[in-house]
Amino acid sequence: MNTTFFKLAFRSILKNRLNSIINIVGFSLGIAACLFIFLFVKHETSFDTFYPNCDRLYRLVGTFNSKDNTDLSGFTWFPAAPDIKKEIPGIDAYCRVTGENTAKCFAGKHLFEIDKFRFADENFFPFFHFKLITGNPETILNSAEKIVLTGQTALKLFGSTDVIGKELMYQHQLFTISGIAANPPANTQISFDALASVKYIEQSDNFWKGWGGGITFLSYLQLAENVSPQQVEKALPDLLNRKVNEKWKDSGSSLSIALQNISKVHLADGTIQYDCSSNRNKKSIYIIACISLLILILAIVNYIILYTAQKNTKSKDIGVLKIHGAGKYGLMAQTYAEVLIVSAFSSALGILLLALSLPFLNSQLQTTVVIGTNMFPALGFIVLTILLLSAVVTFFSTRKIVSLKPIEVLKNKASINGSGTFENYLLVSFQFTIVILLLISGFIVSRQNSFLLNQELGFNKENILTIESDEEFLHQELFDFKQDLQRLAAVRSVSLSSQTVGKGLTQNGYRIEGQQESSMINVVYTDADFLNCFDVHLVEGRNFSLNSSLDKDAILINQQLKKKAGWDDPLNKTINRNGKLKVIGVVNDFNFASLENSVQPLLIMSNPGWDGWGYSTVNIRFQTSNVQGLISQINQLWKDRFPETPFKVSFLDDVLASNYNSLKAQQRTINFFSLLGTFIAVLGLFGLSVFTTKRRIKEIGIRKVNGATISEVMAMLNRDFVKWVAIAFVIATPIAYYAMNKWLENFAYKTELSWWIFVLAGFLALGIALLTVSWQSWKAATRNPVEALRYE
Amino acid sequence: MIQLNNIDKYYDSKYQRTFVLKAVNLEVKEGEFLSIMGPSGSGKSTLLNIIGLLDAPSAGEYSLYEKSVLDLKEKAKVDYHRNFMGFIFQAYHLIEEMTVYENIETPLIYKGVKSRDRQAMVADLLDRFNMVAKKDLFPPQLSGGQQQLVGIARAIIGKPKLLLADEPTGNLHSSQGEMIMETLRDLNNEGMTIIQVTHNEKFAGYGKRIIRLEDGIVRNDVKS
Repeated sequence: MNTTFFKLAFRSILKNRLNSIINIVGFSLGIAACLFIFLFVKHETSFDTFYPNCDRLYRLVGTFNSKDNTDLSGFTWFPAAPDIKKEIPGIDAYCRVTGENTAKCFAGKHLFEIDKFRFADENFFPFFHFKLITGNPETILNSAEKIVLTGQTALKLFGSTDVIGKELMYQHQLFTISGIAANPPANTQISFDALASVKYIEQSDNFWKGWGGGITFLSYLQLAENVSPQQVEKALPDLLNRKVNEKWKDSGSSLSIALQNISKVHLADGTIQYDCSSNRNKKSIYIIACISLLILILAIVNYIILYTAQKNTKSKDIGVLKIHGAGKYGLMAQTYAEVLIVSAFSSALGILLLALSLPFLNSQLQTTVVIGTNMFPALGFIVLTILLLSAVVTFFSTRKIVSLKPIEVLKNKASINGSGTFENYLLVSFQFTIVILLLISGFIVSRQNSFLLNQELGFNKENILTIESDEEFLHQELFDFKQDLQRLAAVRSVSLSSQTVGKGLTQNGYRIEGQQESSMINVVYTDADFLNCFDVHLVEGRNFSLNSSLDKDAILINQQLKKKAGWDDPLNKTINRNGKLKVIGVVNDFNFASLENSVQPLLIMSNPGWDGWGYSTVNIRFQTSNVQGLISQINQLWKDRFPETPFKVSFLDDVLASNYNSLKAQQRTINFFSLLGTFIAVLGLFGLSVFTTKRRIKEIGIRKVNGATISEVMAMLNRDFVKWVAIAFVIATPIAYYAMNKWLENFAYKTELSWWIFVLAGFLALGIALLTVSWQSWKAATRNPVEALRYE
Repeated sequence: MIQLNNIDKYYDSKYQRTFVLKAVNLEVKEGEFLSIMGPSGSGKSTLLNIIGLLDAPSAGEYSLYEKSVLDLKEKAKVDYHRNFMGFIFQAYHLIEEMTVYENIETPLIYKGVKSRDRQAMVADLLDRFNMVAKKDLFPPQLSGGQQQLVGIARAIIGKPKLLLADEPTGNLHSSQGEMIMETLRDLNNEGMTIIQVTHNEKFAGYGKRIIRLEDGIVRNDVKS
């Protein structure tokens, strides 16, 4: 290629300023979107691939099989890893890490929240090779009171990293800081702010440490060299038989374990119900990648539309060049140079744009993509994108013109109204198909979201305050606190519960009377005020009596459980787990978990001591106009009773809304991208309308001289565009319908795909298109026809 | 050099065949300066375009140096355009985004001439046409005569054997037209074969031979 090409390209870009601006804006948005996705996917696929012995690190995935379901969990049982290491050959080491918790700790007199607080086995640092700043990796976690902080956490808590030997209080226990770790990389499933020793759990009575319960541990194995995970998996059934399955034979339940490479954990496919919170569903990555690709395609199509629209001015030049010996490829090279400049410039702008919007995008997508570290592959990606993009655009824009007969072009015989414009309209149609698709999905995701938030839950979530604690309470103190609360004028009802209702409840295995096998049933431990506080209705039977000692083995069940048990008259029937529980009443079904699931069977007990559970949540139904006043009153009562326990209060409806945070993020992402896509498409349409009206100015003049009114001319100019947007609507609707139906299948409670959503999206797209086009049509239609005809 | 035998050019419409050229026989020797004359629609430009390989005849034979050039591949045609013939148009057809210098240089780029050689060749021509001072201007900044001079310069920079001019003076004042014709005559005297199409009797007289077309048929062939 020759420098002249570039010189000419520059002049052409400057000359067709409107086009160039539209193209540059479109391209930079498209490139920014693609670059972001590139970085995003790279970040997401890099999770946990950096361990030196990564190919030998496996995580245990446990399965609980019962009669009617199988639950997969990335968290496994306390003895699983040690037992496997002990009894199955070919395993070098194991390490257990708990899931991440937010922990409230006292450093001196000050209370701090540590976001990612985990317990880990003492060999954590030698096992994973995470960096330590100070401390001996071998001994740093070898006793119950030892704790390791990251430098950042140390700074937050003590204002210094020189904190070895200082003390920290968590759950009324003193921990001694034994080391400072470097901040773990952003792309790991076992990110941490503070690590305490698993020895602490070993000594505590509050944890279930046998097989079959308490799935709190991410258990990792390091296999010996040349040992395949299949070898280990083969030996597992036998081990599990000896440990649990034999004992459970009668219940129909069993456990199984599989091995999963540590690098495969992060990108999940949704089969594992309980897994690391940092995991990301593969599907969501595909969706985001598709959307950003659509944005780039919109920008590319814009360029092609504008280039072909402008071809009548270009084609003469091309004819001249051909006569002077230009070959097809020489001509394409000329256009290529032009597109190359535009896209290179757009890339620079796109990178800038991305850098500016990255914090926003990261928070939207809940990820931690950064620009700057290791940009080499990203730069390669950009260069490749530019070259490829330019090639695609060049090919599609010029493939027709370069083979035009030069003499026809010069004699102005080459078709002006022919296929070129048809193709342009087709491309506009394509653009608007994408726009309408994005609009419809945006509408439906928003509607589903608000549908879930406003769905009848079966209980009244308004005007309830919940106080949550990390630890289970001593019963008597909490009863006293409950009585304190009941004395407040604004408080209508107070109920204690083992978990926050609406965020999902624990499951235990129960055997229903009349059935051989046990089944997993959700359970909440609460008290006699529960029904009143949550506005849950008794359908049959009676409530717990206020004196809880009278109803030690009484339970309420919901209608789902009644149905599952197949009882016509459930009263006085029994459900068994460590003794007989007697049904005293049936309550209406209410949603105690996110609405992605339908209501499951539930049993309610008023005796928290039964299974070793305690109360950890205080639910307060209130009625007052001064909520802040009430909260500070409650806070005061709390401080009097529990001076050392942090006070954490929230409105129940806020807590429930947080169930749908990821859905909301999805909604914002789609809305953001549909706005972006619409904007690019509108730019292209605008550019095209400028050309079309310019081309028809003479025709418009003649029509006006012959008596056409402004509105008739406008209608004539707009008709074409309307037609093609209508075609886009026809194409987009079934695709959107199919895709959205698929998406809604993820929810047990879903909004309807009402026809008017589609029509609304269609009309919106049409309105946008009409507004865009009318600007030019109006200008052309109101022009003095004499002016237009003078150039004859 | 050029041999046309029984060239027909016609367009078929539904019920009739319209002839633009009918049984044209023409031989042009090297070094000739041929003017093609005739009223509008007589087929002059079509004849020129056929000779220039921009249009194909419907029937007949056309050979250059005894080699048939009908049914040439695109690539072979491009080769003829690069190395054998140059074109001048009534509407100049300069590229408005290119300076005078670049317009003249263009054919050399396609020919693959090296940058240094190009500079020398363009400088020579600019000098010859007294346009050195205007080399960085763009076509719209020039008068019609000057634009056509650039057109000629561009047409002959590749040293073609044959120069085809389609009403080169059609858009010009007569004084400018005369200047252009003088230039063409000089080129012919240097040995270049020239075929021009014109309406203008006076300018046709610059040619050494005039043929007159009427309704696609050669009526008259006069050597002066």
